[in-house]
Amino acid sequence: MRRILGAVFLGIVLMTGCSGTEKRDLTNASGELPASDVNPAPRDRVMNGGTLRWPLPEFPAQWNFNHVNGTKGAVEHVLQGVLPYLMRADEKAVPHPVPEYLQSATLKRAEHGQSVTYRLNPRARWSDGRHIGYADFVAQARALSGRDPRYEASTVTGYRQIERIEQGAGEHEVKVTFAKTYADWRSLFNPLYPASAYSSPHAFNIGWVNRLPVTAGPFTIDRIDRTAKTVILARDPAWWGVPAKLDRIVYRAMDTSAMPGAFANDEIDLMDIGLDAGALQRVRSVPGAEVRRAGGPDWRHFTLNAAGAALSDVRVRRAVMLGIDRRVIARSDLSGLGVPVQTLGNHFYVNTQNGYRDNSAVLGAYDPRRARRLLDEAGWKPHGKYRAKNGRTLALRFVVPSGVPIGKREAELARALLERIGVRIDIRLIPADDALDSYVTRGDFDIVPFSWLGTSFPVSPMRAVFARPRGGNVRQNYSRTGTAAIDTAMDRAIAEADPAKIHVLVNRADRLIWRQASVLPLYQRPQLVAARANLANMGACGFSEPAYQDIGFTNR
Amino acid sequence: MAGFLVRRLVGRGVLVVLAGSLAYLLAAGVLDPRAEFEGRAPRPPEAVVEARLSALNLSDRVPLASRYRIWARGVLHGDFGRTQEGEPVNAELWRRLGVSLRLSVPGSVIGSVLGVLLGAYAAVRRGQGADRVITAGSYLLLAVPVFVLAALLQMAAATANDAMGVRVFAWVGESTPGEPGAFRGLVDQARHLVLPTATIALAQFALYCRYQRGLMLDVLHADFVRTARARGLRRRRALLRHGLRTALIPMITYFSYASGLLVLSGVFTEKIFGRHGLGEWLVDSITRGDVNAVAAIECAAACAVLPAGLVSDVLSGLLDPRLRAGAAA
Repeated sequence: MRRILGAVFLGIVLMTGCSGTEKRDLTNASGELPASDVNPAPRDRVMNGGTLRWPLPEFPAQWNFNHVNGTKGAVEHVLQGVLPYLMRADEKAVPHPVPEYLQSATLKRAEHGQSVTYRLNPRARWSDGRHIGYADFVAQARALSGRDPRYEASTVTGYRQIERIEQGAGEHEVKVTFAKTYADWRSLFNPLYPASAYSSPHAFNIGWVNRLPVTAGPFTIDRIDRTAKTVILARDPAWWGVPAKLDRIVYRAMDTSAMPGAFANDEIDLMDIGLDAGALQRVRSVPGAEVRRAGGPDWRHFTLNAAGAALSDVRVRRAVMLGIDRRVIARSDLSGLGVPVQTLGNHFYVNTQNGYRDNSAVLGAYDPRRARRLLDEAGWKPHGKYRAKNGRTLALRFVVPSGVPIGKREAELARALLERIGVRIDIRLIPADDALDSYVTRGDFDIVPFSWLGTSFPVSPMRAVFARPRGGNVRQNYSRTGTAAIDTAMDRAIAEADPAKIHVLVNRADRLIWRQASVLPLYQRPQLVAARANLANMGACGFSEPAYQDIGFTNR
Repeated sequence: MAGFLVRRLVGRGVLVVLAGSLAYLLAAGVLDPRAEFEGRAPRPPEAVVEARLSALNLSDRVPLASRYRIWARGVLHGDFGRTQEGEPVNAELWRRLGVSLRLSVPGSVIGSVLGVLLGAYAAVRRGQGADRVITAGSYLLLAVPVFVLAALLQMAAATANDAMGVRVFAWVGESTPGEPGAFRGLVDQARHLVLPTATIALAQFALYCRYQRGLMLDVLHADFVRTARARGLRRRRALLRHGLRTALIPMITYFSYASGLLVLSGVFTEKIFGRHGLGEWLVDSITRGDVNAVAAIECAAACAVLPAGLVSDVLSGLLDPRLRAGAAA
């Protein structure tokens, strides 16, 4: 066993050794991942004109983002240039009003609920000439409230809480009243659709299939080609803000395996590398290109199944967490990518996010001695190579979807590490396509590695992951455990409006989750984006949402 | 010969209906579109998932038999239903079929013709230098997976582009989006076709070359070739008219059926060259659990085998006098 570990370590050293040849890696390797890396440039340094060629991993048919088929990253990449986003997050995930649409949004707390007054930009208009305002808010809130099941909405979170919407003091003021307090209200009305799109279930469900009839942004739709799977945006002359630098943005769908070749041959201008070291090698040598790296919103972790025979004992879960050296796993996963290795110490926020605190002090450090002591206390005594209790060996099923090499490597590392404290890991390869369905949701595992997708508003979505299972419904709480204290802490955070207080409450909930030892965060997944070196204000964005009118090329 | 063809046609028609039905039942029985919907982040509300699934005739809460009835009724009216995204399957099928044909026809024609010619040539020159080179080349090509071949060609083309300083080779998609002008558009399409055509042609060439060489070796020393030479025909003429012609008959059968399924087999070429054809659609639809799309593609493939078999019968009939004589008698 020791030999396996040794070999794996050797592999890591070799791989980081060869990636260290690049100068950029050396400078980065010691520090922290930046929150974003987009080659920021003031507008006067950006050329007027040019075409940005942008690959999409899939070609969307449904352009209504709030429809169950439209909630996709590829859709959002296009919509951010053509539809109103009232709030845009900065690189630390703090949302700010977008002045072209929204002058201000003020929150007022009432006895039970809250109300938000939106002061809209009077110049903001849809491409059909109508002003952006009250009617659009009403239609969107009604369609997404969940009250009419004929609207096939992907989620009703937040909108369900809206009690009524009124015309404010002026023509361009809208007052939204919530029945309860709702912390993530800034995530609502992003994007905002015209009232005509949401006026009936029919319009909502099929009115935006293969077309975007109305827009209001720095770009407008020039053409959608369903054979070549391309979307072309052109600068919108009717845009009331500063004009877009680019003439056109050409999106084309292609398989991720085609992207490195297309980038190398100058047929696309940027591409998401993911964590593919092979793709990175290929695009890194392309002349006139660079790789931009930033901390992304997603995070990797191990989920422990607290309903399993051995892991139902919190001492055993804690021992497993203490027996896993998170730095080793992070270093193995991130090797060859030229990014600093940093572990993640929080279940809600990632390292570069506003509010992040490292709460891992209790159980996040590698401490095999304490792990052994905990197992002794729990009655698992050494018995040969592994520990045993009442004649049963301490063995855990580590479930890995097949075809995911990163998961298999993690499993092998965990096996080598946990063997040192007398825990046997049985690696189970399962079919990738029904991994989640047949194994994880049903609880047929002890440890499973995967990534949670992060957002700027992490508390309400992560509630489904950490709330106590009720009856048979575990929602996304695959570790199947929880406490009333954690539920209360999360609910208080969701009901709070002051960002500073939210951070305090979320971190309190996070420390409770650390102590319950159900989910072991590993690291914040880095974002690696290859781009032409002179592409400005775009790249590895982290949490930040770019202003599309400022994207462009600088003079070389 | 007409009666023979009609009998064959009817038999194959029955087969197509059977194959299509089985394809649907298998897809609907095995694929799980509900899991795909429920696996999305954020997870959609239960009622919405159910509504979507029943609207698409995909709900696993409806018995398979009644789902099949609804599907079969639609197919009889020429409607394959909608994809998971809510798009009509028919329109997408035609679009993708066009893409697949434009991608694969030039490459496979070039590859098979070259393969047959060089295979036959290698057989005639058995053991000599030319044979050794052709054999080694085709073995090498057979050993290289298509996606590796495509990536190697791409790297070579990118190097060539850099060396020339102009982008002669381009390969993503069928054309550069927004390329203006009919003539320039045509040139643009042609240069986008070079690499994928070369990939397909090389892969096909290797296969046909090996088959043809083996078949040709069998007939080289056959009695009828010797008889032809004894009748005073020059070696070249005897080999071409009697040897190659006979050796081609099994190849024709293979070629016809292979081209019937060609449009489905191009998945790697399609993906790596950014084309959105049937092969890519089939793989992606299976991954998504998109039953209607999978069934439609399988039906299209079954239908493609029908004319392929017909072509095979006609060509074999033309090449093989025994078959005609047998049909007439």
